[in-house]
Amino acid sequence: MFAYIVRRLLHTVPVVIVGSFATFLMVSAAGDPLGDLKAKQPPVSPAVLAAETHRLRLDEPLHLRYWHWLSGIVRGDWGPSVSRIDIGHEIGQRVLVSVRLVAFAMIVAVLLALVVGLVSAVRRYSVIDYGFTFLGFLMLSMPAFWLAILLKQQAIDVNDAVGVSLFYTVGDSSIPAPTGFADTVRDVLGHLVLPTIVLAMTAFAPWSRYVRSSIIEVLQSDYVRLARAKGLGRRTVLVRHALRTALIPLTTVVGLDLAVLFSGAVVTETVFQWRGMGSFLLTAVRERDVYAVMGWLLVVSLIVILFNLIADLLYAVLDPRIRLA
Amino acid sequence: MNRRNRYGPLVAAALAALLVSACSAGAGNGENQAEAGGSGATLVKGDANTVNSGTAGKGGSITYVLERNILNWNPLGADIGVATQLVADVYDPSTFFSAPDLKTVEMNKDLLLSAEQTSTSPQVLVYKISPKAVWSDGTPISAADFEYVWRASDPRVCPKCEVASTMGYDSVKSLVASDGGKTVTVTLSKPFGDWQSMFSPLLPAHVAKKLGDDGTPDGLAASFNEGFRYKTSFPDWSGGPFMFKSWQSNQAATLVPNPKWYGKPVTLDSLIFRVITDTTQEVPALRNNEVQIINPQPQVDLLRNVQALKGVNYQLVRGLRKQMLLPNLNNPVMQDPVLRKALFTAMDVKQAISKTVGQFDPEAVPLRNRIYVPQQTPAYQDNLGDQGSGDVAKATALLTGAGYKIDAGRLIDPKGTPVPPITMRYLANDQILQTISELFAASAKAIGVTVNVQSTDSVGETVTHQPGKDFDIFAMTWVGQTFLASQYSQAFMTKAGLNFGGYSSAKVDDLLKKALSATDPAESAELLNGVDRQLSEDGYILPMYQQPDLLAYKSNLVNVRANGTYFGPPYNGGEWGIR
Repeated sequence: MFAYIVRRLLHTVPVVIVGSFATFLMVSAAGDPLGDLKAKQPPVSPAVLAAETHRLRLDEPLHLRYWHWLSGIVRGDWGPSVSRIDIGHEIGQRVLVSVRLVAFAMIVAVLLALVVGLVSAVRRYSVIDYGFTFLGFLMLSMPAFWLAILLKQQAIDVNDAVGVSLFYTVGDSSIPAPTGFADTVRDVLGHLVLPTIVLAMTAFAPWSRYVRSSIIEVLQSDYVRLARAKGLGRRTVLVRHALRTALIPLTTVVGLDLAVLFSGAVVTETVFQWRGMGSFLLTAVRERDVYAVMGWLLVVSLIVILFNLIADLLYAVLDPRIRLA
Repeated sequence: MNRRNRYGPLVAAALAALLVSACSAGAGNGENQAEAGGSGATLVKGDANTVNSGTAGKGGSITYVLERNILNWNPLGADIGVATQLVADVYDPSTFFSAPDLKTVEMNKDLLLSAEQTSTSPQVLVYKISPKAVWSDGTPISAADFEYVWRASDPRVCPKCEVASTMGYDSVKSLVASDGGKTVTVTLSKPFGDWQSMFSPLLPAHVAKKLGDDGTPDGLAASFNEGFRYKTSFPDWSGGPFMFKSWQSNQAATLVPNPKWYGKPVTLDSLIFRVITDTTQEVPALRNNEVQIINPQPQVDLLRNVQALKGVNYQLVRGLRKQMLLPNLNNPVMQDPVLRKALFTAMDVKQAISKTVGQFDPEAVPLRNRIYVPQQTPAYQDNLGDQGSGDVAKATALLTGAGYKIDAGRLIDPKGTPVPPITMRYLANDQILQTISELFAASAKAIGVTVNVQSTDSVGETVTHQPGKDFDIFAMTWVGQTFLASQYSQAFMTKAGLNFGGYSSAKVDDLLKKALSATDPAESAELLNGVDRQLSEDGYILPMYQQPDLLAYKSNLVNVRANGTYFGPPYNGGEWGIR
């Protein structure tokens, strides 16, 4: 197992290098990082522009800039930022915010997908199945920002109706943060609920369809029929045989969709003003901050690689044939 | 019942209600509320400098929205954004500030007893600092602080200091302290008309020493460029009504009253500047009382949503942000003043207003001067003539008089060559500037000129003529200031830093040089109007209108008012309070 993990990780190194170099070229060609500084009113002096050009390594050829970035990463230097932020420090703070959002959304989405997929499969072609199918396609086709705006408006109505701020529309915590455990938990949950719902809804829809079709397929298989014939109860067959088997494709899909969840978080974080990796990327792109974009890419790539690896390992846990192979 | 148990059922019920209602939600809630309630936000009008005045009760907290994160806390730094100045208003004292009426430059009476120009040749400025004025650690605000700002802002002393403006400082001949440092006498080697823009704000010299100012140019640059930037922290000093309690980058700055504040007592317990970078999220946050003051760029939908809010007041004023059409004289096609004047004459500014800001601001009017705005009477004059009138016949007459011909809908220049298509750019996602660009293209078509409208994702890149980003006409927003000679000398003088269109005129250069040195406001106004008239003569820049400035706030707040200058609404943040 350990050798497998090491082998998998080593395989990703050239992918990350090639991908990051391609991204470096594209982001560098996307615009002048000093464009906004040059348009300042009143204008900055040529000396300031020259100093910034040097600081951002814009006076070096592209391949050298990339090499300095790559070798700097190994030493823990994430490169100079247009806005002079400490990229590594900033990413360190923001990645926790995003991972918290994505993790909660993923858990909610997986649970929802399992319940909805299972019920739809068992009650195939019933009103419930059609209802869930409609809901699934509705969520699949609804833009995340639109769902977020609707939820926000309704959440404020609920707050007005109950006379207490249960839900918050901006940020991941109140300013100033409440004191006391109960109030802190309530505050964190009040900020977490809406963005989690938005992100989870967009992810759960396709996953529930996978679960549904997978369980339908399993329920028609010979071994399930045999289990029933042996006298096992319907619930036991569903949970111990059908659901476990159905988890295999879901695990793969969830692992692969993690990148989609992270990209969905860009929109969700923007609408709810969470200071996670999504808003970091948007700001970096807007400022043509090459090294900040590269930092984002590197971290998100590593997270996706890590979760894909976990998905592969879970796959082996769930399917004895894989484990034995 | 403990707090947690009390909220449990409430949260469960609320979640259920939320999911059910979200699925059945239709139109924007703001509209529903306005219809149901029958009354929304109240439009507040009055004297720009005193509107919404009142007596505040003791205590409370106000949250003001910043639309950008703050990455540099040095308000005199070259690369700061507007947000830095907005927060600096309440903790870093300026000698003068621009009042909301856009024409009054007021002395900071808390900081100074007087600030006078005692001589014009040579120009001598005498500042008398209030004996009560101290920094938050008790150190008196003194001539040393003036001297630090001068040294950092004068390229002769500190060539490495990354300052926003060197104007005035580069002419300082001497700065002398007297009365124990409470009187500052500044002598300039050449007159500087906008002298009130200097030393705004101040920076504490004793803090600068801790930040690396050891008297050498390198030490000075280190303290100014890196020290006062506070890259990973925030200013731990104050000379204003508030001082920092905390700063979370990208989230919020929390300020509390400065115990050493020497002005009128502050009533609030705290003032929070919260970063919300998506304008559309400001209104829901205001409605949910997560913030109490927003100052977004108004659009039709946004204003409608604000107007639907209960318990909210709003002010809609016209500030110093102006929409303009900037021709690029570096490109051959735009080098003929006759063609430029014809294009601007064919453009109907009134129509452009009615199709854009006029939809939510009925008081928006065409701007007929590039330098002054209507509030700046009596200096504001109509110098545009027929430009902006939309009179196609006059535009055509201008062209034919200069030898142009319109043949089969195409304009032919006096040499018989068809005028090539013009590229017009606007900032991507700015619907108003896009509409204006399309209207300009339609009006140009009427005189036989094809205009290709394209967006750009960076004003900076476009106006500095980056490859692939170049323009013939640029529909842009110009952020004005109250110190006009300084600003417009940078915009219109030959090869000046903000002369994005490549304009050059010996007459304008001469007028601007005189305006910069003019110490009499009336003389300065006459010179600057002379500049504007010459620009009209040369068909350089078509001013369109002042951008409306929206300030919305909870109706129980007092002394909160719009300020369309660089200082913004927090210019009097120390007076803000809750009824």
